[in-house]
Amino acid sequence: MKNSIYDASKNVFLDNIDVREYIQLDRVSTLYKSLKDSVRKPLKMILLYGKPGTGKSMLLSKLHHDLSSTQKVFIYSTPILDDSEFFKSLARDLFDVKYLGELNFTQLMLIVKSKLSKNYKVPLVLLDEAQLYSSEQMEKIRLLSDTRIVKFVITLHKTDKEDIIAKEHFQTRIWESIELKNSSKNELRIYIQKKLMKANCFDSANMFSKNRVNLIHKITKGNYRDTNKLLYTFFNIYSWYCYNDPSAIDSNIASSKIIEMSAIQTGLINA
Amino acid sequence: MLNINELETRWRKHKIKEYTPLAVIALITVLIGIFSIYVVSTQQVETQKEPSTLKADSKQEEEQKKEITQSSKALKKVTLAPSFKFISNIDNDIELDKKKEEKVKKKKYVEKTNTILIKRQSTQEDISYVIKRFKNNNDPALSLFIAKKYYELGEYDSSYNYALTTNQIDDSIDDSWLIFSKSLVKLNRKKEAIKVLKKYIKHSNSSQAKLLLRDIMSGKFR
Ligand SMILES: Nc1ncnc2c1ncn2[C@@H]1O[C@H](COP(=O)(O)OP(=O)(O)OP(=O)(O)O)[C@@H](O)[C@H]1O
Ligand SMILES: [Mg+2]
Repeated sequence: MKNSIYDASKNVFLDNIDVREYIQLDRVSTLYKSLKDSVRKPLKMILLYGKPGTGKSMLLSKLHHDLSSTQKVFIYSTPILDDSEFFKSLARDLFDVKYLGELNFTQLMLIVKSKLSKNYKVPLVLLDEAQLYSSEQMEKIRLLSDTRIVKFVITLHKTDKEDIIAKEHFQTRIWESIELKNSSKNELRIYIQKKLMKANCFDSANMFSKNRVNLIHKITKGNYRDTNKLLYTFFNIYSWYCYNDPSAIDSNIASSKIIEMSAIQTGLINA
Repeated sequence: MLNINELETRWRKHKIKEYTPLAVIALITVLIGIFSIYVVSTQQVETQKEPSTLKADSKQEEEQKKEITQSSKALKKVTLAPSFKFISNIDNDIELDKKKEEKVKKKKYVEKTNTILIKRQSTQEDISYVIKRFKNNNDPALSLFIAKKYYELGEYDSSYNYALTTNQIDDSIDDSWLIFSKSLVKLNRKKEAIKVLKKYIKHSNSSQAKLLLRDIMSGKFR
C-alpha cells in the first residue's frame, strides 16, 4: 500500500515538460509576468536565457499554453535544423501555406509579402534550445523578425560561447532579455512540496523539512532538473526498501542517508 | 538497475571521506590544546619566582629583572673567562657598594619607602628560586649568583657561605673568591680575607684579586 505512494511520488519527478505541472514560484511568476508584458509590447525579439535545468522550457510551454487561447502562438520545442524544413514549417504555421519541395529564405519572404494585410496580427513563435541553431539560421531568424511579420521568443543555454552569439546576433535587436536562475532554498522547498501535493502525495510532501531541503539544495544548488533527478532516485530507493527492508525507512522524514545515496547514484556526489 | 547494497557501501565510504578531514582537524586541535595546557603549567612552575603576589609598580619589577639578567650575564662571562673583565667588575662592585650605602643612608633619613621594601622582597624571592635550582643542579654559576645577591643585600653571612660553596665546586672562579674575601671583610674578618686572597693570588695570579687585596690592605675597601 505504502509502496504505491513512493512510486507515485517517484513519477512526480520524471523530467518532462508538462504545463499542467507548472508550479507558481514567486520569482518565476514575476519573470513570467514580465515575459507576458514583453510579448504584448511591439518588440522584435525576446531572449530567455539561463543555465540548463533552470526552467526555460517549462516557462516557454507555460507561455504557449496561456497565450494560445487569445492569439496565434507556436512553439518549436526542438529546433528544425534543416533550413527548408524550418521555413516550410513557418509558412504552414503562420500563413497556412503548404509548400511541396524546397523552400528557401527568399521564397519565404515572398510569401510573407503576399500575406500582409491591414488587419494582420503578428503571430508569436517560441523557439526553444536556440543555441542549437547555426549562426546562419539565427541571422535569417533575425531578418524575419526585422520585417515585424513575426515575433520570436527564443531560449538559450547560458554559456560563454552563447553569450557571444547573443551579442553578435541580438545586441541591437533584442529589446528584452530575461534570465532564469537556480532556485533559492525557500523556492526549492515550495517547488518540492507543491509538486508532490499536486499529485496528491501529501505524506511524501511532509517528509521534506527545511533541514532536508537545505541538504538537497546543497547537492543540487537549487537546479530544478538535478533536483528532479535526485528525488526520482530517492523515491526509487525508498520504494526498494519498502519491498525489501521496510524497517530500515522512516516514512515521516526524508532520510538524509538516502538523499545522499541518491546523490551518489545519480552522480551529483562523486563517491 | 538499483544495487542498494553496493550503494550503501559507497555511501559509507563517502561518509568516511567526508568526515576524515574534520576528524583530523579535531584531533590536531585537541593535541594542540593538551600541548598548550602542558606548556602553560610548566611555565607556571617557572614563574613562581616572579613576585606575582606583590602589587608592585611594573617599572620596578622590570628594573629588578634587568638587574638579574645583567648580573647573570656577568656571571656567565666570569665562568667562561674568569680574569679578563676584572676592572669593570670591580667598578661595578664599587658602584654597587655606593648604591648600597646610599640606600642605607636613605633608610636612615627618609621614611622607608615601598620601593626599597619591594626590591628587597623580590630579590629575596629571586634568591630562593635560584637556591632551589642550585640544589637541583649544583651549578657553581648559580651559587655565585646567590652569593652576589646576598652580598648586595648586605647579608654577608649568606654571601660568605655561598661563595665558599662555589669555591668548593670550582676553585678557579675569580668573582667567587672576590665575594668570599669581601664578605669576610664585611664580617670583620679582615685578616682571614687577606690570607685567603694571598693564597688565591699565588695559585691564580689574578690581577683582580691583587687589586682587591691592595684596597683591603690600604683600607680603601672596608
Ligand atoms: N516552474 C516550474 N514548475 C514545475 N516544474 C518546473 C518548473 N521549472 C522547472 N521545472 C522542472 O524542472 C525541469 C527542468 O526545467 P527545464 O527543462 O524547463 O529547464 P531548461 O532551462 O529548459 O533546461 P535546458 O537549458 O537544459 O533546456 C523540468 O523538467 C520541470 O519538471
Ligand atoms: Mg529546455
